[in-house]
Amino acid sequence: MAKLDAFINPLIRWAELLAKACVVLLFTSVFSSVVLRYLFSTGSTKLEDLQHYTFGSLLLLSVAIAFASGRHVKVEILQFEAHAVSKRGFLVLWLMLLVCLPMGFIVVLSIPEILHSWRTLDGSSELDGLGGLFLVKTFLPITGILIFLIAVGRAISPADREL
Amino acid sequence: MQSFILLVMIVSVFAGIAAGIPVMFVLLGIPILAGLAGTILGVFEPSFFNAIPIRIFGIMENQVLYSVPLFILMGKLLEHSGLAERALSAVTRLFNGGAKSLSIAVIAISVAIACTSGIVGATITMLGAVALPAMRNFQIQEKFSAGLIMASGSLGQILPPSIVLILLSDQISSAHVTNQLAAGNFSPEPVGVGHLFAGALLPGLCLAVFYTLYVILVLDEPKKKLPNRNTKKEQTRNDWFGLSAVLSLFLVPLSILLGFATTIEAAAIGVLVIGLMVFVSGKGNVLREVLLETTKLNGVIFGIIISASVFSLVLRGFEGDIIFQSLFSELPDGALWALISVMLIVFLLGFLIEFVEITYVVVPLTAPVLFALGVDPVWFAILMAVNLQISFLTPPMGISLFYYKSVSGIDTPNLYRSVIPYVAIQLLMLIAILIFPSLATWLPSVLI
Repeated sequence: MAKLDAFINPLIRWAELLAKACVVLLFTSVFSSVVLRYLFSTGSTKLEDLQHYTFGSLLLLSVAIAFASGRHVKVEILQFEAHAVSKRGFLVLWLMLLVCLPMGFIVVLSIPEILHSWRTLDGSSELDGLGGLFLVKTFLPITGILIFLIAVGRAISPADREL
Repeated sequence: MQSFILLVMIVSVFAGIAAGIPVMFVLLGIPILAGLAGTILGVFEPSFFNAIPIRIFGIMENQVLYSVPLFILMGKLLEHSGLAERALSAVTRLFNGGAKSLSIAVIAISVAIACTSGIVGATITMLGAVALPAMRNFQIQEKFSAGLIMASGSLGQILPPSIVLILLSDQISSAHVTNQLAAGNFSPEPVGVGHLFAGALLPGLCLAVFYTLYVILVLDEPKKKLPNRNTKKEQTRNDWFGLSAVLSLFLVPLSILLGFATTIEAAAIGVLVIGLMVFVSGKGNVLREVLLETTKLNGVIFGIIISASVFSLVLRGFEGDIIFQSLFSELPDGALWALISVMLIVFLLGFLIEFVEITYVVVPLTAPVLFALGVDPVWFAILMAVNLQISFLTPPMGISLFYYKSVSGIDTPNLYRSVIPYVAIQLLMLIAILIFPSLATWLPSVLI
């Protein structure tokens, strides 16, 4: 368990760092576009692509970060008293069935698309746009694997943590 | 068999949500399990699954959604800046410094904050921390303060530029285009986020005015004034800073509505303005925390959008869209009754689930049917927005209730009772828009 935590925690810290950088870059690229449009009456395809790439990367990374910090929306209308073992069993059950299985499934489904994207070095649809879209798309399986690992870590953790 | 699995899937989704499993994973996991079961039983075409990554990449490319992280950033900057405290004090003093002034200032500040992103949690937590002690000092009833802070704090979800409207426009515009193409119109008039911003302005401001009238009519005025802890010079400086902060917030929706800036451009300018204010007020050290909080809230919203997209894909795979469409088309008196039925369903769902799930699950199912029956997309969107606004206050799951309880410690019965007058006002607003569609459609027709 400690080994898995030691492996996952730095990954989450890196994801947080990258996501924060994406927020800053998204703001900077949009604001730069505003300056170009209003002061110089021009635009930049590269800046527009940068907005797309930073938004896409942020979107995927932030889902894993929110899960790691237990921020996803929960409702809890049905409050039932249950033995700690039953509660634990329920937690492990839904983590496996509703998190690990779908994430594994999405990772497998995304592989052909990602491989194709890497093979063609997928980039902007515009001639003067930015390359590197294949890197952004790669965040989909990375996020899937990260969420999968976090769920496994929670399932085998002896302590009840916020999810 | 196909209908049976569909029914089990929908019931399981509600049961999973009610059992406290994070909504994102319920909406993602249960449809995938149902789809796999359907594939084994031969009633679900597995090629639907191949569309999941493409749908996620589609969300990543959706330019309407680019502004969402920036609006979250703006709201979080405002939350951490301490500007609301100064603005509240300044606006209260601008009137006569009494209990009614303070209550009206709560509404005015909520409207101003709504002009950024209107993140309900941030607004209510902020008002709870800043306004509640002052309201208690005036011995305003705990129940009255609770209702006012929660209802005012939720105004951000109807007043532009709100995240609810941005997400709604994403769904409404695609349903509108699909409907027009199906009707043979190959160059449909687009319904964009600007139409929804303009359409929501009047109902949102009406709600703020009705809340103000309620305060004026119901609240007793004690003979007390807001205490002044600073020197006159400091107070004047604080008041000017607070008032200028409030006024600058209005630039964001104004720039969009008057066509000077697109939604995302206005968001970036808003971030810059509030960011500068944060640095001027010496709170630049909050930036790291603000960025992390922005990331987390972004993840919560987009997690649900992604999973709701998978849910609707699988639902379509089981032909659920056709079943829902036939159900709605069989309702008596066509459009109006279908619209009222949808509003009733959304109102009831609002007791149980959040606006993002409703927007991404209910709208794709119902909007195409309603548009085909002749319902105006902007009218429908604004009705949805007001209805979703109500869901923020209705127990047990109204998100505003949770936020307020966490800052005030109020007991649950009083918490629930406190929102009754405001839910009644919101319901009247909803009925008024149903009867007079021009409340929602007039301003977009003039401005856009």
